[in-house]
Amino acid sequence: MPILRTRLTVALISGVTIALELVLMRSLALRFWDHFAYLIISAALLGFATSGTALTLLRPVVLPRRRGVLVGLAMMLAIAIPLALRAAEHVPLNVQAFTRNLLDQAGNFVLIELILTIPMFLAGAAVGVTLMDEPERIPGHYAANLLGSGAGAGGAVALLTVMTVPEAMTVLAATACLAGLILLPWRRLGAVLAALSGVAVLAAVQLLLPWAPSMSQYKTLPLLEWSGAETIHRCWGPLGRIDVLSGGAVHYVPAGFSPVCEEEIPPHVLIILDGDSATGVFRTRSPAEFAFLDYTTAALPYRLAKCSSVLILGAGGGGDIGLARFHSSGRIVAVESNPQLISVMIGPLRQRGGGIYRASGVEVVNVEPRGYLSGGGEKFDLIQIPFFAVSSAGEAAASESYLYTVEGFERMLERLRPGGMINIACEARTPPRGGLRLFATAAEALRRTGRQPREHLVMIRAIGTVNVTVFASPIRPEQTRAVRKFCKVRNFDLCRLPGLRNEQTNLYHELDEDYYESAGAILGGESERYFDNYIFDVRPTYDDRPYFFRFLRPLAAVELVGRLGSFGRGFLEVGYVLLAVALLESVVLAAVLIVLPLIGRAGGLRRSTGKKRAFGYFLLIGIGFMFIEMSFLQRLTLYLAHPLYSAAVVIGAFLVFAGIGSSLSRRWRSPSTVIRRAGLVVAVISIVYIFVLNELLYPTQGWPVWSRAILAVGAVAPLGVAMGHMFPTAMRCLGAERPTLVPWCWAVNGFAGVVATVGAVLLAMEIGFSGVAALGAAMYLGAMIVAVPATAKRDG
Amino acid sequence: MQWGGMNSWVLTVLVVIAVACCAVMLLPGNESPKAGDLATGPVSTATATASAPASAPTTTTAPKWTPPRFKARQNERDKMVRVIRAYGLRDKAVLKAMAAVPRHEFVLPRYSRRAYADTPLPIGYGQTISQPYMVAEMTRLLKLTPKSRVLEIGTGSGYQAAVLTHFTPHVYSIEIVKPLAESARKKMKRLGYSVVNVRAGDGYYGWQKQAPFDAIIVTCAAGRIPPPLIRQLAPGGRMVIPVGRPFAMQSLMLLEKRADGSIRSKSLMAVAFVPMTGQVGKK
Repeated sequence: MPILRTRLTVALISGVTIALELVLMRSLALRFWDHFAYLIISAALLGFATSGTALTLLRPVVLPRRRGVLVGLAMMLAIAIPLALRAAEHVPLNVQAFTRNLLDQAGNFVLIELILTIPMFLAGAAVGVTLMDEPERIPGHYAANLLGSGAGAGGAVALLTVMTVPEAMTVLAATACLAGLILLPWRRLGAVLAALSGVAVLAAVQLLLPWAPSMSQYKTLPLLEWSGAETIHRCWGPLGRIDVLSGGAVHYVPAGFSPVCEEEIPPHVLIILDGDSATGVFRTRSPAEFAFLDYTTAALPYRLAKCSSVLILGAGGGGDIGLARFHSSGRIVAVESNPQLISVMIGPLRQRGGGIYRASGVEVVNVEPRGYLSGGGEKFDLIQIPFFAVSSAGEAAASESYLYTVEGFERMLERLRPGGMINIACEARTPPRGGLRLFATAAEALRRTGRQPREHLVMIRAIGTVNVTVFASPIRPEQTRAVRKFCKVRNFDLCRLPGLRNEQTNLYHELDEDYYESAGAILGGESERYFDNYIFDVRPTYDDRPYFFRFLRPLAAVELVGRLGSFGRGFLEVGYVLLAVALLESVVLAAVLIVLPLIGRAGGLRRSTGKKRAFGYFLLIGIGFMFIEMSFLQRLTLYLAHPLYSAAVVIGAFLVFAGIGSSLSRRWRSPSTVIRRAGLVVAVISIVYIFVLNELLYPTQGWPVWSRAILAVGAVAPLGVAMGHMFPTAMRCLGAERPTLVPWCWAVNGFAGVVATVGAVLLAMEIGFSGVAALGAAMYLGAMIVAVPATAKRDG
Repeated sequence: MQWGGMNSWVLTVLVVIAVACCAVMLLPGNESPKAGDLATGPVSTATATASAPASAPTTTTAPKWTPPRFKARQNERDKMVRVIRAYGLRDKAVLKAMAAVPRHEFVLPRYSRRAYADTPLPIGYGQTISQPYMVAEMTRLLKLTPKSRVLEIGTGSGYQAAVLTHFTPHVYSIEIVKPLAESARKKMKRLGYSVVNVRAGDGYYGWQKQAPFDAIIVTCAAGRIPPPLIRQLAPGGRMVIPVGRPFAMQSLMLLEKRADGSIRSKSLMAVAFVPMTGQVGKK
């Protein structure tokens, strides 16, 4: 095969594959919810791994015609991308019914994954075919694969910034087609005709079967559209699709709204992100028209002290800005992480309430809230965090959130003026969980900053909302009185306040399980016992385990379902269940597809020696690579303060530097030395980073994002280069001595990646990302121990 | 004779007018049942619950109202009532009403065989007829009297409204899905529940023209309690409403408006209702 064209083809296919993963994540987030990212990663790695098994079985057929197979695979990939998308649309997966109808829905979930595995299989097979080339060429091919993947990560963000998801999919299919045409032997008429037929089929699919991502009927947007709401604006971007809805069917009631409020809610439109997350934009002529918001729990701090400067972490539709202006705050900094939302507010909605972003005294900053807090600088009288839902069906159970962690509260406390307050509200559910975790997290942050939580915390609740107020200085008696008056006037319940007695609680909205006693237990000396005994996990969350929305312990889930039967399934958290199903399915498929080639005689694998050692090595580095990558992705996401951009930077950096490492690995004569040194370097750097990375990077948190991205890339570089040595060095040895094992080990490595990706998240929920990184380091040490004796023989 | 500054003949005229009005109100209306399986004999008039009245009634004169009676599938209804009793619901008036309303008339023909199973059933347009126990429990919570004015949000099949007519003839029901509203209206008329006033519209805004109501029953889940409904609740009135995200577990809430206008509410149990379309109350 021509080296340069082969590597260009491999780089393009690899780039398409990574970009396809990111665009598919976007597409499924629109159809369902964000937690489907793991389904895509699993599908990708499963496809790669399955391709290894297939190549093992078909090795005698593929080996003599590698170039033709590679071209064919690229063309098939181009056609498979649009077809798989259209097929997946027809699978009736219902996330809301997942826990109630587990078997059927798990079947649908697996079916979608298998459909999306097809293009990934073709891409994986294409890369696998190139690895069957001459052993000395493998590191170069592998480097092209990694470099292409790295470029694909950045390319996907660029694509989603300038075009819609269907358009981006078309570009990816066309690029895969181009990758095939590059390697096409143009002098062979048959090959040219076959390629042109492929192009014609692709064009026919695109033209005759138009596609747009559908949306679950259980999301807010379809419900509103069905009720007659009119979409007056729509735009796409890497962070999601924004729809603006208007009409008589649109009526937005703010969170924590008092049932006795007589103020009218002004006319408004709704901004909906990815079809579900909604925020109201109120058309007002003066700040006085925001009086209705003074009847929400968010108004509490304004009734306790003068709030001249306010920081709002999540500007959204501008409701909290309106409340601050109603209370005559002179300086309002509103942080909004979604640049599209800002564009919509100051663009199409400027005359319909969005103009509040440009009101006097208001500054809207486009940055991730946690990133803004870590940047240091201005201090505020009030930090207001808008209401957030605790996801009733548990869709967000596997989602990370860095604002609602102990460290997040610590950063907020640092940004308060003396006497300042943090106000945060979340959805109140029965039995209580989100509000209690919020309270426990704030209490822990207060303890860690040398404050006595009893004197700094107030918790109140309205119907369906719990509100926690954190005071930088001890609460004054007149503030205590003001809280009581505020709640009485608005019919809100007191849950925690200095001097509060049990009989003064649970007056307006009566709950069987009130927050008063729980709050007392959390602040008392027996808090550990309380956390252990409470049915839900409401312990504080930390940056290392930032799963605020995961409340259900696995054992409690079993107990609930056992006690309440099918009704108990309603308490299961879909995000967690999906991860568990994905892991189970991956393990079963991995076991079958790894063992399958060993059963038959195809590929000569059965006769080959050294399988156990090779299996152990590639399994360990497969798991280790993903464990380390996932844990550092989490740390650097926090540092770069933007999940999508940081994912692109970090994944891209890992792949590019692993590619460089792969290329460099050819320079070393002794495989055992390479593996020994690389394994040690990976393990040592991983362990050192666990302890010092934050200290090294966080002082620069206030720097511009591009400079932080460079530093993050610099941090990844030594790790990536070292990790990049391990796979191709061993592959080269196998290619020379036991070529029949090459595709099989590619499969083993792929499956290890599938299991590790999902497993890393489930593990991180229990032992934190530091623990996952330490395990990853141990895997590399293990791989080193397994491989060195074998490679030492080769050295000899 | 002078009485409080009023001539006796004026008083006499007023008394005559009042008696005439009462007589008109007591005349039989056109609510006689027409369905083939209706019983011919009248049954007792609207039955008050064993519970105390919710508030001073806003309607002082109730029309004479006799809910229709049905024979078909009575055994199945009785069996259904036994299931409801097993939950611990003992309110005789509610159980009697549940035993009287022919649920099989309100479900789609293809679900007719399962009409008396204690389960919700689809009625089309993404809506459902509620589980019989839930209908009974929500009805019980309203503490209706024959004079209560009750507003239902989410007519659906009309079954819940039909149950309500066994307590009061002042039943107002709103349904956002026009075909469902039309179908329910026709069904009510055909079965003899003609006192139910059905309107197609957005339940979020309630029925201002007929407000205030002594009871409001919301048979679809709302993200937040719509403020207009709270305003349309009479002092002393009660509202039963499932609150929570759509297509997830919600909390069934009982809300009471006290005489001073303050609100007391209580989360009663976890439920799963179809969403109140058109209303958003979350971020």
